[in-house]
Amino acid sequence: MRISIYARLLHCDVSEYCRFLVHLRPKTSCFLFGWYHRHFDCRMSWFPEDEHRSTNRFTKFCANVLKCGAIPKHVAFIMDGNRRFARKSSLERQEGHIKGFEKLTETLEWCLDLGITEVTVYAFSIENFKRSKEEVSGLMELARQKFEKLLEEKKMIQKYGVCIRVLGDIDLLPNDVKRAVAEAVNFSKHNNRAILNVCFAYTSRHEISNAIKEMALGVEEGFLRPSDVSEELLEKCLYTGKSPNPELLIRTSGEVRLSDFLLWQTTFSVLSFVKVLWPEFSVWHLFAAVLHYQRNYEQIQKTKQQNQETVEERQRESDHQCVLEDYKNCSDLESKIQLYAKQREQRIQTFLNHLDEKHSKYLDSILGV
Amino acid sequence: MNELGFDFLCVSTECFTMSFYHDVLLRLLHAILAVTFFIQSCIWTAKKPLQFQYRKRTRDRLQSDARSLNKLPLHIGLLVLEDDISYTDVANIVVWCMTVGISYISLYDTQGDFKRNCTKINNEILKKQEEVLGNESTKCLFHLYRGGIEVHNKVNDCRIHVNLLSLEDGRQDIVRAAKYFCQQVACKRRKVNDLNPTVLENDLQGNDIFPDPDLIIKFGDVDSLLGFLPYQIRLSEILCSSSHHNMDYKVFISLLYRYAGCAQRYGK
Repeated sequence: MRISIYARLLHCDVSEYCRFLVHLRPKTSCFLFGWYHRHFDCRMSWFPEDEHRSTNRFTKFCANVLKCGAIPKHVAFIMDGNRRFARKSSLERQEGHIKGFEKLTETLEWCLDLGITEVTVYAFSIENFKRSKEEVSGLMELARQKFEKLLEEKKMIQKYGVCIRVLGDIDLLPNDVKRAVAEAVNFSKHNNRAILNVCFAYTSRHEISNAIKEMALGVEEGFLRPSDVSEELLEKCLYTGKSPNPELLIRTSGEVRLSDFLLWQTTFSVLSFVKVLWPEFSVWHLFAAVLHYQRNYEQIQKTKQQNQETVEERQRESDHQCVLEDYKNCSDLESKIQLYAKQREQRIQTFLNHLDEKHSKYLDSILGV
Repeated sequence: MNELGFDFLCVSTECFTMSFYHDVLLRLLHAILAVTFFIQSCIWTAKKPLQFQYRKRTRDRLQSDARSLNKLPLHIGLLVLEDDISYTDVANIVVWCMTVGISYISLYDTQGDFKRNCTKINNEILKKQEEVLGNESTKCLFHLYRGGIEVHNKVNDCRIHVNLLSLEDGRQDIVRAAKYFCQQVACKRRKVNDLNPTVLENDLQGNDIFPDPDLIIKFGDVDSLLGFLPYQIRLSEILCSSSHHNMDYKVFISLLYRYAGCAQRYGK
């Protein structure tokens, strides 16, 4: 409520703004000034202007050193600790969240400099709807502003080639936020140089059960057979279906749990729990996490490989079983299995295309096209 | 033309030497890190024999320690992510867990060694129980499960359950549940919209009685869960210990203290 008043205020002209400020108590006006400043400061934008980009030569050098080793393509962040940060530095709770967003834009820049092309962040969980009404509406307002700001920066989106995806149950969001989200996603969907996944109204359990629902619908509509369900297909039906699994997960604020975030996708990821609160996260923490990833790289790769082999083996067995069920005692089993595998792949591809189409139709329906 | 070619060569050698130095530096950094961790673990093992006061562990001592904790996990997951598994040490830790009053214990490794050697584990645990608990060991009976399915069904009345898991259980359980649901939808026994996270949780559990793990203790240097029950671990606290070999009781109890100190907010 309070935030929306300030937001409206920011649209009126500056003289009016100053006249208004005189009537306010010092503490409030300080807060307002800070807010005003940040809102029109370039830091508040999603893209830092070139002269503001970190040009510290030592950091650049360290990044180059790190880049000689394995760099994760996809990193996931749980941005925890905004509220604790606000309490610690006696700021308003909303200020803490705003600081958190600033840190996110900074972190995205560091990631791009390191060659990390995909980032997934946990912005808002379905469980977070349980928070106080004031905080939830504050967060929604922040999200709406940020997505609208993003749309003002269309040129920059195209320049950097950023694709923005929102993962989660968008239906749970208020209408204005939903629209802003859909517009941003729709606008940037063809970009592929850098990908930002924002988990909004998301929990992993929801995601997994949603994926199973999609597959069941596919079975009901005749796209799939129940036997087509596999680890690979389920993975493609998740919200993150088009992305590789994140290789590194970073959680700030010293908590050591996943809190229902990318449970399926992070089974083989390196987990890095960092003690600092999210607004205090620095490029050095990121470097340390990447170094940690490099130390773990080989062993994890081994287990991943092993899992991949079992998955393929299982698929072959399943195909074999299906062929045996279809034609009992036949000759030339091997070629029949091959044919069956080809047909199965085709079925799955048609189903996935259908799923894509459904998703973009849903976005269009939100935008009222 | 020649000059141009030369220029090009010059730039590329410069790039090459730069990246060469970067590479050497990174290797050096990793080597330093490895040495530091190695020295740390050496100091750690050297210290161990000094902690003789923790050598003798009786049931009373374990239980009095447990009473001073303000919360205990109901279900603990022990992830052994080391190549070399010592069954005696694993059994030792399992017996500690049992004695402090943890009712559900999951043992996990990626290769499936626990599942293959379940009789061995059963015997080791019985042996250790006798060592720690003496004559009272008969009071602490347990059920053994392999991937959620009971193996040794000899005792009826007991409250401790030990589950052996491997890479085949985590994701594959979800796929199995999904397949089952899809079959039911195909037979029109269930509707697509019947499914939600809670229903899926029940489907996944099936007959086994294990609740979601509250605490995961990971042994080994790999900082990853490597496929441990993805659907069940959303609220599990993940704590690490460098190795399960000769694990000290003090380390074990300090991990439980750390767990007791973790506060959960459930999204609020």
